[in-house]
Amino acid sequence: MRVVGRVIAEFVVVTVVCLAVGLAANAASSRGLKLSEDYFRTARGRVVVRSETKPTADPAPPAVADPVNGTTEPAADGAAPVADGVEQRLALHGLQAISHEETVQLFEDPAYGIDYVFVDARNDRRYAEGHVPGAFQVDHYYRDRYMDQVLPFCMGALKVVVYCSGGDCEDSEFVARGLIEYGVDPGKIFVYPGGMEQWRGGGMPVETGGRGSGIIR
Amino acid sequence: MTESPGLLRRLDASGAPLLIARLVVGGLFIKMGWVKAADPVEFLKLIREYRMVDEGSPWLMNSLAAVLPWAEIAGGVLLIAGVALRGTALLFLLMLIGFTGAILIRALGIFHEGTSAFCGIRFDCGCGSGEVLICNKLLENVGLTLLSLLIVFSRSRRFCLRGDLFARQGPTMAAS
Repeated sequence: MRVVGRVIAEFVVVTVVCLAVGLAANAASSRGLKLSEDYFRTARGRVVVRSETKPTADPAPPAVADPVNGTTEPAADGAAPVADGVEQRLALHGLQAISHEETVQLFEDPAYGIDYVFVDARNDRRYAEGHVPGAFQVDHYYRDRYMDQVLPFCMGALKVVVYCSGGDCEDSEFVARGLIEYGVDPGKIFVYPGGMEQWRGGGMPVETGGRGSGIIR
Repeated sequence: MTESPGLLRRLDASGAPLLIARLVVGGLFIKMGWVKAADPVEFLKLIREYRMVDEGSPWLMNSLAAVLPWAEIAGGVLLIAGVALRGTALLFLLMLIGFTGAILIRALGIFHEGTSAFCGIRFDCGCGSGEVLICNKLLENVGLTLLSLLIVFSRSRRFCLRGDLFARQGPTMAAS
């Protein structure tokens, strides 16, 4: 029994030490998480599982969203509309989707970067690997670090397009909600569900490194 | 006439099985903990996919994602250094039971959806080794569990800095 008691005491000490090390390391790390932050509050009850071996249905052709009139129009010939399910999901959180075609139009508009601002919702590594040329970055999980730089441009823009990887990535929705919480007019925020996957698939240019690096592929 | 110790006793007394178990378990936990500690956000998302932690309690989910990887690293260092062996091995045993149970439950859920043979199921279990075949991961965890049990029950304290925190002993004396 004395041995058992010593083992239990040792277990308690080790557990406390390991937890203390964990808490201290998280607090000291630049990648540390805020323990009280509700990172997924805009997706409560809905978990998108990214990596299970389930047959994934091809995404439904997306409808064309008219952000000005708030209507959804049938896709033009050759255009890919936003999936109704995605629109409904975004609408539940006060967000609106934008099609690939309209996203490209905004990118190619001379007022891109001033009236039309793009925000990449992925982490530093993925952003540096390739993003829409001129897009700002807001990593939702460390967004305090990015908002000061990005907010003035979003406030002054006519439209703000937020994207992430595409597919099951939800980070664009989280960042979009974050921008609204920081005071950006929700009527001008759009989520591009296709993300970088669709952007690259459409043969669009990709900038690597930092914003404005000029390294375009 | 005293009986000579059995083969297992002699093997244990050599310290070799314990040392191997410490290096394997400690090394693996350090490696897996490091991968998760390098990207706690990714680990947080993987924990969420298990749907076993109440999303209404961000404290719990965030704490698991933030603290667990570093706790694994700290425990692995203790094992390799030969400090508080039984307590550390017990902690890892509880972790392994919890992780294995969660993986099994999730795999069974996928299996009952009828989309894949059980041993064909693969997903990123959040163990720090990326996407894995679940049967392989379960076997690996069983192996680690057995090695952790060896550490708990081993009497040897060879090659340890302080194998028992609360026992008065030198670093090379076998615990009686």
